[in-house]
Amino acid sequence: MKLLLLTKRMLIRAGGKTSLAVIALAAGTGTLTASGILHNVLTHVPGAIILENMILIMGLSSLLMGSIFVFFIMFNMFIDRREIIGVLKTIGYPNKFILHLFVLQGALLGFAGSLIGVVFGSNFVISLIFGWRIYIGAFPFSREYPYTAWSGFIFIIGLLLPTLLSYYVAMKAAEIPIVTALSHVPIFYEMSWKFLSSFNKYRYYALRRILRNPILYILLFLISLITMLSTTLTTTFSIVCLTNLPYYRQLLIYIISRAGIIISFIIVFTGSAGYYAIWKSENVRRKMEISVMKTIGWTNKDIIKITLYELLFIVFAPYLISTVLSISALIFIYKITNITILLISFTVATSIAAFLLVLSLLVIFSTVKKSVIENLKILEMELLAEFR
Amino acid sequence: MSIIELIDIYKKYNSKYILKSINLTIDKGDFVVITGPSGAGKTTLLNIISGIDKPTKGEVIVAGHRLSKMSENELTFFRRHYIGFVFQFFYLVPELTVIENVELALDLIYPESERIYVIERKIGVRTIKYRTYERAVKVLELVGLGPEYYNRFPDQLSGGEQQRVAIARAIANNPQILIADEPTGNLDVRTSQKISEIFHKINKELGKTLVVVTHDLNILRYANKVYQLENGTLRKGVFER
Repeated sequence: MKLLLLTKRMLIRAGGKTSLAVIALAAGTGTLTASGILHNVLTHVPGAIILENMILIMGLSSLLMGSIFVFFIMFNMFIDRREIIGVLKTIGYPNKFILHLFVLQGALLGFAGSLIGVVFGSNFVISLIFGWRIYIGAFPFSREYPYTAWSGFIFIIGLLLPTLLSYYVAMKAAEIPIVTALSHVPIFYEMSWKFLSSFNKYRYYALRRILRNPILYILLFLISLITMLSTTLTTTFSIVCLTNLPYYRQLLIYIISRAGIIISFIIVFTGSAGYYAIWKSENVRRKMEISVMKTIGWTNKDIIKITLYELLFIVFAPYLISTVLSISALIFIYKITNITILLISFTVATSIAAFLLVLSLLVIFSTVKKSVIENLKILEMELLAEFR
Repeated sequence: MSIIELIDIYKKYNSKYILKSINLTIDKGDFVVITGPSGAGKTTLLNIISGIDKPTKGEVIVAGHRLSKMSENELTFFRRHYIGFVFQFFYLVPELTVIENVELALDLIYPESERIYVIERKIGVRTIKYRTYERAVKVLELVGLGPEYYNRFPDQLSGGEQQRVAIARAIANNPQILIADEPTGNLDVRTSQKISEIFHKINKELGKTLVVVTHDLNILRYANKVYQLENGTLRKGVFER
């Protein structure tokens, strides 16, 4: 059977996106594993719960983001390989083969990510990097905190979450009728909603775009939400720790200045890179539309207005949600009423939102700026490259 | 002896009948061409013959099997052994080489346990070849692709070469019926001439039954029965030898 060969080659072809997913997964599982050590170190320190929460939030959000990437990769694979799925079924491959093909890919990504994460977040490696002061022991079962069991649990979560998400896609792929797979009908049929007609044309067009490909926009929404929320919370917590808890300053500076900042940096990096990758792949389809619209007589301003309405959903809405959530969490759960700290969290969220906004507008500007013929030429080349 | 028999076929799609009362009998060794305007239901008819789609009403008997009474799994098994399908857009798996693409159809027929290993000893290099490999080479030779093509990927081939690989994949499992949906629709005249010659060869030398949807005169030349599908009804074409 060609199952393993196909799995391997398809993953290699997906390339950059797969490595991004693995990095995000590894960062998530690594942070969560390392949080076990932190728990062990901080058990006798009062008030350390904030620091632990911070690390947990970072780890969980990174893990979630990695799983969403895996889902996106598998979903993209399904859309791109629709005809191939149809052909495999026509030749006589059972639905099970296609199910296995997709689940195996998701599971392999999950396995690689969580293995790297658990190894790098392990007691041994962390002590190797940060000093043997926090080394718990080679066989830490007997300790008060079951560190090995914790890492095993994290490994299983990191493996299961992407696998389950890709299982969902695989089921969709396996059950698709051959006729649908081979016809060039879009998988999401356009919805005609009556209330849309009351909108102005920019808003209407933006909403139609979102509804035509809802999964993609929901993914973008989730990615920007997770990036903003987690980074805002972690940075604020680290500042709270640094300013309000001076008597174990040494340990806190020690951990925040190394692991915390590196990992929140990874979250911002993977989040914005994933956002950029998805937005860019959407933009290939947009090129054709922009060329047609410009030929008909729409101006550049009109096109950018439509894009701004879309960004309202995928950048501005997550920004609002994350600011409100993080500030209310700070005030009501952790009882922090220091204006400077609240302002800092607000600034962090705003800067990330601005960064994502600039990133997505840059892509659009680069397309809009070019002439119709230039765009069509690029589109042709990109489509040819995809069609290979 | 008839190999394909369609009795009073109706197909409804989006509350509109695409096929109305189709009766068609195809004998073993026939080269049948179906023509007609786009949207007439040619592809739907092919899908029904090959067991990809099911008719709303009517009886389909292919190689002695009643397709309308078969389950999904049985249909998969039926397609694996009786049908070869060639598409307009080739649909080769881009991640697999030419030989692997052809082997794709063979892996299902030769189960792991029944494969014969052919071990070639070169100087210091040992290559293991499966029975599927031998068969794939044989089929690729038939469509006129030499050993220099075996390890290329589909994106390194021209349209005509890709379609030849697709034909090789379709006839690799030695099906009784070869079905082709506009096989030359994406090719230039000269290439489609070669492709139609390959179809003729498959029909004459291997004795396969061919059902082809096409407007290509090159293929029409070799056909011994021509039908025209219009407004969902089938009638004998003007072109017949």
